[in-house]
Order: sequence, then structure tokens, then C-alpha cells
Amino acid sequence: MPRIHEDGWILMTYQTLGTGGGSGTPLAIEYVDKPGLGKIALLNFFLSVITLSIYRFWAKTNVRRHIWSCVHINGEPLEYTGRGMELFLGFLIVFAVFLLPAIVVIMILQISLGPDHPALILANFAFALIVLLLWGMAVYRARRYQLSRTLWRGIRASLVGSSVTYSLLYFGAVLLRSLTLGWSTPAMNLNLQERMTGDMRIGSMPFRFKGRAGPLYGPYAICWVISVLGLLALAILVGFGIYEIFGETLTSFFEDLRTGARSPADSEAIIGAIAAGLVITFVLYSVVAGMIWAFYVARELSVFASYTTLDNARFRMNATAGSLIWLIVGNVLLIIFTLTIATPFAQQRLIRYLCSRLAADGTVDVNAILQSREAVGRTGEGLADAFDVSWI
Amino acid sequence: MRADARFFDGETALDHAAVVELGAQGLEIEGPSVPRRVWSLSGLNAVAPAQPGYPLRLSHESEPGARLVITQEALSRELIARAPHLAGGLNIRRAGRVAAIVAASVLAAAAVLYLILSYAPQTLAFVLPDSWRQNLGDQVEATLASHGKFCAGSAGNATLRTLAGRMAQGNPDSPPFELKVYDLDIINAFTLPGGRVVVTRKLIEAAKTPEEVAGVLAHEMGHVYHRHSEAQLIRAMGIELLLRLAAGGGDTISGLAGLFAILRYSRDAEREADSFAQATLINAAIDPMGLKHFFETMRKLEGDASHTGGLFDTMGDIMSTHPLTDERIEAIKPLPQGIQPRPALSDADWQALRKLCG
Repeated sequence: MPRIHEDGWILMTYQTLGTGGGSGTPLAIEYVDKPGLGKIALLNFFLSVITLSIYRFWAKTNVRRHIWSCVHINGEPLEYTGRGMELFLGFLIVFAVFLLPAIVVIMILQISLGPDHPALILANFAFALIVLLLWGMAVYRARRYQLSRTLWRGIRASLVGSSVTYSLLYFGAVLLRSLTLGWSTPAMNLNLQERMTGDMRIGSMPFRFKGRAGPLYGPYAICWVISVLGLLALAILVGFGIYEIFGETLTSFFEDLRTGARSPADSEAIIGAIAAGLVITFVLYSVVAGMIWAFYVARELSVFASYTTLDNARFRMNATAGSLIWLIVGNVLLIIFTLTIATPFAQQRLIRYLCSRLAADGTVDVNAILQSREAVGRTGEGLADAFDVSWI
Repeated sequence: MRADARFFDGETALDHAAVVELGAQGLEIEGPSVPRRVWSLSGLNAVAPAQPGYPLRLSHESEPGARLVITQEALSRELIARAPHLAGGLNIRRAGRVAAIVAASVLAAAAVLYLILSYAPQTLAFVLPDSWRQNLGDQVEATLASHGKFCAGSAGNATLRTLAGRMAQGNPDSPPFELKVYDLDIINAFTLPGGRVVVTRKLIEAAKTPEEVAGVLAHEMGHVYHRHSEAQLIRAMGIELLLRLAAGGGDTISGLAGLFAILRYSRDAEREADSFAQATLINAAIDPMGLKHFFETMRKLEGDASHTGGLFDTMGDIMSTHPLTDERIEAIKPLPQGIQPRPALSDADWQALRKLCG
């Protein structure tokens, strides 16, 4: 399953955040660019390099503060009130209670038992399992932190549910996905989205999410079948390619492999070619599959948006596969060719994409929105930073 | 100066019309639905740095959620003139203070880490259980074995056993060690964790007398005695841990750890091993001049070719892992008067040693 699905949930936050208005007023979401991001990008890159990446927490904060302030809802910008120090402390806590002990235990096992001991393999497996169990928690907590630091007209947003529940649901979704060869994805994504969106508030006003996964199964089936056929076709093509280059040698190679007649040097060349073929297949397939699945992701974004309401406003998202592909390919190229310096601009492109394609029908009674009474945590995103789940 | 503004009270999302006036006590705010309040200038904060052409958004420490939006630029300018901290941008004094704090913490952290990495590994090396040392040794030796053929070890070879025994003569403190010969394409000798001393075939061939080989061995026994290689590996792991900390647990930098895995021994470690070698050779009545000769030959070789050091992959000759200096060569003294040198190996054993790798 392409990673792009996880990002779908992230996209949805911004989409659902884009709300508010006058008293019983319609909503207008707009990205209003302002100068200053270039300076932030350069300074962030420079300071991150000279601090061995420790500055990243403050860098992230600077970018968010800028991008948030460009998102205008009914003319009033969002405000990001997070601090780099909060992210740094969150990171330190997770490092001290989770990563450091894990690394030390694995190191000590490696010293005392050797790298191939079953206990070490077991420890590594346990570590991976714990990471998977905590992944959903990281996603949820990062979202909670970002929302609690997002203000509109002085009113705080919040996420009111339990990150433990969400992480269990997430873990279940991952397991189910592999058990059903992906076919549980639309239903489980809907579940996760329902929980996340349903837990979101702007001040006292809740977002609501209601709908069925049914409409997603058509696009899902099409993408699934095409990508499986694509994989088969690609494997056959690359296989023929290798056969064309080596021709007869290949058949006799497998003969000799059984009898053990061929010299090791020859075998190495052929094994190398086969390995290269597999790598090429994999890379090509990742690109092609990404493009195929963009159709599904676009559909999911639109459908999830249409299931989301705030007061009397229902959201609407005009996401298309072509625009998503252009967004992601453009961002990847932007980041690669500037050696990550332009990452803030890639993040800006993402938010601008969402703002320009998201709209709402109906009205929101802004007068009824009271300040949030949710407690505001002091540290943020420790797990999310450790697992690198946050896109912005 | 008075101006119209918009006020959000932080309690509801209502957009209140208000009039603000810059008075003596600060910013006076009042409106039809906004009770009069005064925001002191020192408590004001700009939500975003003030920019010409953009409304100035303010918050105040006395009312955390409340926001005031001033759209009239004349008032914004006057306000910034009275409260320059609202202009944002570079505040030299504040930036200076932050830079000083960061620099001081970085220096302090670096100093503490440097001290820990300098002294803790050497202490920990003596706490390691023997089985752990052997395990580390197995792992390092496996890397070595992938680069060259194992010829013989003192566990199974009589000549090597004789040589190892000869080194320990007259020295009750001599550390137990296993002597191994590998056919590697470099002139070098190393100590691996768990008391293993590895000598390369080329080193034996480069030596003119058994005393030269014995001198090198005595030096490596010093590393075994002081557990320098265990300490180096612990140090390398510590550095890897720190790199992971900086990278946030990612694997991105951990490949670098390999680079540090086999650092050169420090000057101090070399001096310790040298003085151990001197004492060992005197106890065993082997002429230390052999070691001196060998070092001098190596010194000459070094002049002919440049050497890179460090990793087993790119491992250079003896200079690369055992930095040689004039003082070190100077410090090697002949046997004290009254001690009669005895050969390190018999002629027959010396010939056998030179033919170990076939």
C-alpha cells in the first residue's frame, strides 16, 4: 500500500481546519502569500547544519508560524503559537524514556551475545513491534499538539480524544491491511478519519464526520487490479530485458547452478544483473504505483471532505489525481534539487493546494464558538519527531 | 492618536469593532461591545513581525487569548516607535543573549562529553566480562578474516606458542593473550578485544630479526594489558549513540559510526603501550633495539608513501593505527647494564615463523 494514504489523513486536518466565519456566515478559505519564507528557509538550513540538526525543532516552528499566518479564513489568518523549545523537550522525553533505553539494550545484547544471536533478533523484532504500536499514537499526538497551537480569532483548536485508542485502531488497521491484501484499506481509513475528525474542535465547536466507505470501493478495486497487472507486466518486461542481454548464458547458468560447473566470477555477474533487474523493477513500480494510487487518494480526499461538517457547513474538496501527482512530484524534485533547502516551499505548496481546493457549502454560527477549555500540553510531538511522521 | 481597530476577546470568536488610543499608560481599547481596558506597552506582543502593508496583530500578556488588529498604518508606526520590540526582526540584544546561552550550553555539553568519552571507556573496559570481550573480539576478527587468510594461531601452532611464552618470561604481570598470524596485504599488528594479538605476514617478512617482531609484540601486549582496544570500541559505540541522539534516533548517520569504530589510538595509549613494551622486553631479556630498528625502518617507509588510517577496509600500515613520533623512538632504551640479552627465538623457530603462511 502506498505511503500516500497516511498523508491523506494529514491533508484532511488542514482541510477540516479551514473553517469559521461571521455569525451564520459562509466560509471562505484562502492562502494569502507574504514574503519572508526564503529567508526562513536559508536560516533554517544553515543553523540546522551547524547544530547537527538539533535546530530542526525551531526551524519547523518558524516555517509553521509563517505558513499558518498565510491561511486566511474569512479574512482572518490562522496563528501558530507553538515554540521550538516545546518540540525539543518533547523529543528529549521520548529519547530518554524510549529510544535511549532501546538502543542501549540492543547494543549491550550485541556486545554480550554477538550479532547473530536469536535473543538479539528477538529484541530487534520487539523494538519494531513497539514502534508500530506507537506509530498511531505519534500521529495523533502530533495532530493534538499542532491543533492546540493553532488559533483563529484568538480561539484555540483542539483534539479531545485518546491517543491510546487511536494507536490501537491504527495498529489494527495495519494488521488487517496485510491480512486482506489491502482490501480493508477504505473501511479502515474511514474509521481512522472518523475518529480523528470527530475528536477535533475549534474552540467549543466540534467537527463531525459521518459517511460510509462504500463509494470508495469502486476506485479502490480499479487501482488494485491495475497495480497488480502493472507489477506483473513490469516483471515480465524486465525479465525479458535480462534474457535479451544475457540470452543463452542465462539458461546455461541455471543448468550450471544445479551441476556446479560454472566459475564463481561468471555467476557473480549474472547474479548482479538479476539483482539490478529487481531493483529497477521495484523503483519503476513504486513510481507507477504512486501514480495509479493517486486516483484513489484524490477520491478519498474528496469523499472524506464531503463527509465532514462544522455546524451547518459541509466541506467540499476538488482533489484530482493529476493535480496530486503534480503536487507530489514537484515537491520531491524541489526538495532533491535544492538539497532540502527548499523544504519549506514544498510544505507551502501542500498547504496552498489544500486551501485552494477546499471549500464549504452552508454557514457556521461563529457567535456560538467559545474559547476551548481543553488543557494545553507543555511539550509536543516527541514520538512524531522520532518516527518522522509529520509532514510540516 | 485614535484609530478604528478590531478586537477578539479570546472568549468567543466574535469580531468586535473597537477604537484604540495610544495614551500615556499604554494602548486604550474600547468599543460598543468591548469594555474599556488599557494594555501596557511593555506587555504587548506582535503575533507576527510587523510588516508595512499588513495589519499589525497584537496580543497582551494580561489576556492570553485576546487579539487586537490595527489596520491603520499611521497608528502602527507610532506604536512601534514607542514600543520598538513590536517591530520584530533582529533584536540585537535578545539575539546576543540567545547566542550566548546556546554557545555556552554547547561548550559545556562538549566539554562534559569529551571528558566522559576520554575517561569512561577506559574504566568500563576493565568491567567488561570476559565472555563479552571474546564476543567483541569475534566480531572484529570476522571483519579482519574477510580481508585475508588466517595462517596460524598460538592455540594450535607450536612456533607461535613458543614465541608467546618467550615474551612472558620473567614477567608475572604479563596478560594472557592469543597470538595470530593473518596473510594481509599490509605491514601491521593489532590488538583485538579479548586479548588477541594479530600480526600480518608482511610484518614478519619486513622484520630482519626475531627481536624486531618481539618488540612489536611487546608493544601490542601493552595494549592488551591496558585493554585499549576494548576502550576504543566502547568509545566508538558512545559516539554512535551521540550521533543517533543528534539525528533523533534515525539511522541516517549511524553509518558514520563505522568511520569511528577503529579510531587511532591516542598518544597516551601509545605511550602506555611503549613503556609496557620496554618493561616486558627487559624482563624477558630481549634486546629493545630490535623494536627501535623496526620503528626506524617503518619511519623510512612512511616517507615513501602517504598513509591513510582508520577503517579495516582502507587500513594502512602500522603508522596509521599506531602514530609514530620521534619521541616514541627516542624513548626506547637499550637493556640496562648487567642484563645479558638472549635471542627472542631460536634460528629454527625464526625460520618456521617466516614460513607460517606458506
